[in-house]
Amino acid sequence: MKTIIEQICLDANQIKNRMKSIIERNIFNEHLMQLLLSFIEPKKNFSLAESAVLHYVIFDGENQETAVNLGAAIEILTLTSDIIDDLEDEDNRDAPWMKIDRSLALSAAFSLYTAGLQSINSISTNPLVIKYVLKYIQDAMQGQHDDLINKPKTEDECLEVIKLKCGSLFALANVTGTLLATGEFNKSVESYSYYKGIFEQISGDYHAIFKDNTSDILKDKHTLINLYLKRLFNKSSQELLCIFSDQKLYSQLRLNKKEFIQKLYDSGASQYVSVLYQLYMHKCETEVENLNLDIKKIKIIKKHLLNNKNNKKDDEDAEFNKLFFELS
Amino acid sequence: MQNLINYFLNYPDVLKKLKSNEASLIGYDSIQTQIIIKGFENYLMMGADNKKWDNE
Repeated sequence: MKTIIEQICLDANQIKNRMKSIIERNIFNEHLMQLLLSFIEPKKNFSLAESAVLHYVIFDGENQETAVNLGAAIEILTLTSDIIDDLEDEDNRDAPWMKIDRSLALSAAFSLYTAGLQSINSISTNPLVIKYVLKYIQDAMQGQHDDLINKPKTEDECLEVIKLKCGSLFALANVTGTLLATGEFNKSVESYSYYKGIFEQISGDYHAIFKDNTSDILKDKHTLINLYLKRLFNKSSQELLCIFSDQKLYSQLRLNKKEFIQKLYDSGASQYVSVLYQLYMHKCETEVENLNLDIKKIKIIKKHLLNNKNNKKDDEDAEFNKLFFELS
Repeated sequence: MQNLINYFLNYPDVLKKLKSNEASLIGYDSIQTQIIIKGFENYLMMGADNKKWDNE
């Protein structure tokens, strides 16, 4: 199935090339420019650009150039966020910014950030655009700060941090895309973007515990799973916490995935995150249905946000393609 | 939600009663209740990004 970007005759390379153009336009220092271009080059996923473009088109935005510029600028801002996250968390060691001097990477990240903001600012004269861009970036940074200091102690606090840290980035893309098309802020778009961020992060955190390179478990980060286990409802929770506190035991358990999954099940942690995942997906879907849009458009947004490729049927794909093609 | 999951683990019969509408969850409507049951029972569901939820 073609992605949204491909369906409106854009491709990932166009977004990537536009990102590079933004850097070339805004950075005059040759060495810094080449460094930033090298950060952009390996990028393959442009899902936030795709989401921003989709919202721009769905809400009747008509200028394809504006859509591409917006998508590229948003990807630059989120790339900055990724770089700073990696530097703070000391993970993703294969990324180009993790292979250079740390102070150089940090300095480059701030240049990237300002280039992204300059680009957004040049897209529209509507002051609401830059206002909301700054709000969501600021919110995401504050969520990241709370995550770094391991602030969440309860489920509600953890969900709030996830909303800020992850939901704000989806809101950045979707609200800005909508705002550029309509000139107005849309509360429903903001709400379902937050929910999308929450259920994506819940899924991401759960899958991360099976990966070799995750440091969250060993750092005792207060993720939802960790906070659940710390309630010590049962023996399996106790055993898992004990294993997570020992790098060797944790590595051994990861090698025996069946046993790992069974322990998570016995503790109730799997069911816990599964229920939260489903609930936030449902909240997201319900909020999309509140949009004052044609049913076909609502169907497209739902498909985009709640997309689950493994559960999709070919005829549903065809219907989705047809609907989007008609609209764009 | 943490307490509710623990309650389900200790009293699995409650799930049956919820399914057959013999019981209800305070603070959740019927749709949310069904989503909770679905999430609890189908924890092997598929997650985002083509990743299997559990048994990859």
